[in-house]
Amino acid sequence: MKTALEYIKIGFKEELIYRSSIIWGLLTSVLAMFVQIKFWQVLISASAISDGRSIGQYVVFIVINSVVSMLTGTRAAYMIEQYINDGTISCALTIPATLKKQILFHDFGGNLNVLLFTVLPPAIIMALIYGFSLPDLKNGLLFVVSVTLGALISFEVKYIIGLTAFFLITIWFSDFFLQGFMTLFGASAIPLWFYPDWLAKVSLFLPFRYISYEPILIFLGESESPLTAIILQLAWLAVLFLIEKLVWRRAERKLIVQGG
Amino acid sequence: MRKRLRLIAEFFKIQLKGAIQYPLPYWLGFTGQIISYGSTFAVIYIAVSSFGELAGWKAEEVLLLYAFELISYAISAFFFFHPSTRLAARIRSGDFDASLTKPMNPFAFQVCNYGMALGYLSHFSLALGVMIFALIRIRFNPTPLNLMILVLFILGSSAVQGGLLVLCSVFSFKLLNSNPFINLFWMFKGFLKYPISIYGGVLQVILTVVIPFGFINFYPAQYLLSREGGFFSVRFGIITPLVGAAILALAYFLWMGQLKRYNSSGS
Repeated sequence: MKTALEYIKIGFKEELIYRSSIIWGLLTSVLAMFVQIKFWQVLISASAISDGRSIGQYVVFIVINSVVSMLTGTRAAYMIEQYINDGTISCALTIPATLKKQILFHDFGGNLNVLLFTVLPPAIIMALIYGFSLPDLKNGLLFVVSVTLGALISFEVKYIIGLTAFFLITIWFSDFFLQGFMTLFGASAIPLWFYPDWLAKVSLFLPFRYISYEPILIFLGESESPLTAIILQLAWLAVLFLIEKLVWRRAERKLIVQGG
Repeated sequence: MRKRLRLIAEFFKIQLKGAIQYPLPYWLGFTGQIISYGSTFAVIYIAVSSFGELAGWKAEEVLLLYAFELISYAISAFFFFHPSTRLAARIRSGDFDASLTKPMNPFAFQVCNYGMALGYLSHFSLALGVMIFALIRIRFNPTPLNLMILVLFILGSSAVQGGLLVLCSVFSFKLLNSNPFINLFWMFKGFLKYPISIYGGVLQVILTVVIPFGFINFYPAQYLLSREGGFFSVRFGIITPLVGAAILALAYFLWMGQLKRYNSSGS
């Protein structure tokens, strides 16, 4: 636990080195949120077909999605790729903390920083301008549990993809796959209630919708059964954990060191 | 002239060989890009078609709009992405100075040696496919004149994107770091997924006159669809090829001008 905290601290401090990156991050996230909010605003207001939801509900959707994806971003794939390329993987493996711990807690620390300085301020301002629907106490608590589980699933998925660097050696493209799957099956851009039935059904068999979409439904009070959602999240977490262990065991055996 | 073309072909062959040498990463990258951009197209289509329209634009029209952005990005990035985004790093490391000794126009050398990135074939094929789908859905009439306008628009909007990329990199000579401007380029591209008419007058004027991002996709698509609703006239799109040529030429001359005053980073 203490080592984990140290890694979080290091990651947090590293983000403070380049002040200008904070400003750019802030501008980018303001703009991204603004574009998405305008999109929904125009869709809702000008259309004859209203889905009965207010812009405040879409603001919730946008904000929670960007917070979760920001908080669980990890450079695991690129780190492992680089470690293998320059040979430092041999050092990383001898440190008395697992590779997973080293990478994920470090990234989490950096993410906390980015969240604090570049995502939350514009999110709060947007929420104040456009309105924000808050859940009742029960759904609020369930949401906290669910969104934590969602974040863990996200980390687990990204870490497993990162581990494939051991087999593929080059992995610069991993983010494209992740982004695509999150957009399509994780409903990170458009809520699943718009999806054609078959596509929504496919998403039920993949872990991506349990990252931020199910927590959002609980927050909005639209989840049919929050408890089922949470149980499924736990189940997915167990499955992913198992897959990670399997991949890791094979990776250990397969380890190639290119340089160093 | 023929000698020059042969030279360019040689550079291209080198890039091709590079891609063929490691086919697995290339095709995984190709598939990844298709999945990533493809799902964006899919969800935009799903959302807009469930509401019927977005500020008067039907779902397939919004697809056409975004396909315009992606195809012109593919074409411009093929030539200019790596030469522009990595110029600062090459100046810092001294690689750029070495390339000045080559018996060739220095700008052309950057494009030939660091550009011609075959990875953008994925963007191009996806965007072309979506564009054809959208054009069929909107009953585009493929007369020779219309096709010529379409091709000119694509070239024009590619020149706008390419010119803006090069313009961002011009600052590298002085700052030794072009990142803030490249970041700005990406930020403004965020507006282009949807018709810029949804953003209100001030932003539209900025995106047209100050930084002409509107010519990357909004104005050409508006012209092709005769879709009213922007701050400016529907016919405005016809000058897209001119705007593209002007920006690319401006970028080239500024690049060459800055090169004359370039002192090297001392690496």
